[in-house]
Amino acid sequence: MRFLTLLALTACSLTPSELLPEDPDADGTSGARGPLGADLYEIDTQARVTERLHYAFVTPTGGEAPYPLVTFVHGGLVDDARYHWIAAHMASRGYAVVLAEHDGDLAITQSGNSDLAVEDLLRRELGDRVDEAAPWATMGHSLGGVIASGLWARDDRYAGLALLASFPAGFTPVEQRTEGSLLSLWGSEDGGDESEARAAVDRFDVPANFARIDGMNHYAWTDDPSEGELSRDGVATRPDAQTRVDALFVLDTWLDAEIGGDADAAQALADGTFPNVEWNP
Amino acid sequence: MTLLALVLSTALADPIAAREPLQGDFAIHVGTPETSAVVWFLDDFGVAASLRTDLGAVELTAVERRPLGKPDGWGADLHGAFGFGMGLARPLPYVTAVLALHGGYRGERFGWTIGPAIPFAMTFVGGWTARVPLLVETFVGPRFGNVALGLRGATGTVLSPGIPASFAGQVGLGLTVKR
Repeated sequence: MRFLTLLALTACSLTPSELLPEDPDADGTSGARGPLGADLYEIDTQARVTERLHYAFVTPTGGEAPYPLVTFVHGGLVDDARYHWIAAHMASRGYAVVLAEHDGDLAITQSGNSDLAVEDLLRRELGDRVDEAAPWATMGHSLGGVIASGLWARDDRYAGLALLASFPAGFTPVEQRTEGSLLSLWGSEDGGDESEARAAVDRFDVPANFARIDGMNHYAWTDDPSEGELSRDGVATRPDAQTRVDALFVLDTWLDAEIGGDADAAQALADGTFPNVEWNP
Repeated sequence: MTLLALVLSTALADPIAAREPLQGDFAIHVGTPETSAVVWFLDDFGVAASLRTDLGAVELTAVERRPLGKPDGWGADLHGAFGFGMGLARPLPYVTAVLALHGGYRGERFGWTIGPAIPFAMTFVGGWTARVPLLVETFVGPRFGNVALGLRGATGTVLSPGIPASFAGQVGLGLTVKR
């Protein structure tokens, strides 16, 4: 009995670490961070009966919960911590973010981990910070976008799908969804195949937009890319700090329009005028 | 019983050790997804304990091995197990059962077996869920008298209700001792 009690206490005692402090002067426009802070919870839970699943929950601080949920899937062989910057950014603008880990940092081997992480989160007291009545979004970078596409295709709670330097697998039935929206972001200097990403947008039967970020490469989406990763990538022609702001401007606008229900954002999305971005080229 | 207590107290355990090619009195297997040990009490009945490598769960299982035909040389073994486990990431009691059929050569110099294995687990706590791994596994290794070493590789898929199947790739090393 003492063993069970100890286990229960271990499972429940979660202490967050601060990713971003609150900044009341930040306005969250044009790709800038928002005024809210961002706390990171590192959570372990039981998955598929016997497995230990680790996931990160990044939640806004200083605002009024609950918040719409964004489920982010990391790229292949890239630790999810290298995307905490984008999770913190979204949290500062009022979105709660879940990032599940996968064995070997390969999401394709355990494509249900995001489902399991969200299910576990909603069982916890922390789950009260997630607005279950609001539409959600899922997004993924590179291989993570392949997995996020599957999640979007099978779970109607996710209205929005954002692909960051990615495209869905051919066998993922994205064309069967008739509600929701797609945003596909691609860096002009990405070492991957842009034509495949652009062609994949045509498979969707929902409003779909493709944005080409000038000067951005594949690993600009991740913190601390290794020399090996960069050697396989295109060469960024502008600093990551600048290309990220341009990409985030588009991503934030899309989130606010499709998930947040913001009419101004929806109009901005319809206009498609973003600096250093080719909109549906 | 002393040996069994020692095995359990070290919390090194899992039914994988029970499927090593050589039928011994004691076996240990270290690898993914589990580290396990088994003590055989009778020719074909034993108790195994296991700890998942990701510290996700511990299990205690009764194991049985039934040679289909000769117990050595070319032949096949049917493996079964039943037991209980406890999730460690959050307290989650569950039942587990294993069914495996291995064919191959159990010789004096080396052993090699291959076959399907289904290490099933299920819980009803907090709503029912289950894991159904469908694996093909192989063991190969030399034998030195009453001691055998084994290298294990396994691959397959893990089915669980409500979510996509996941991929399983497992490796490990085993040691079997026969008195």
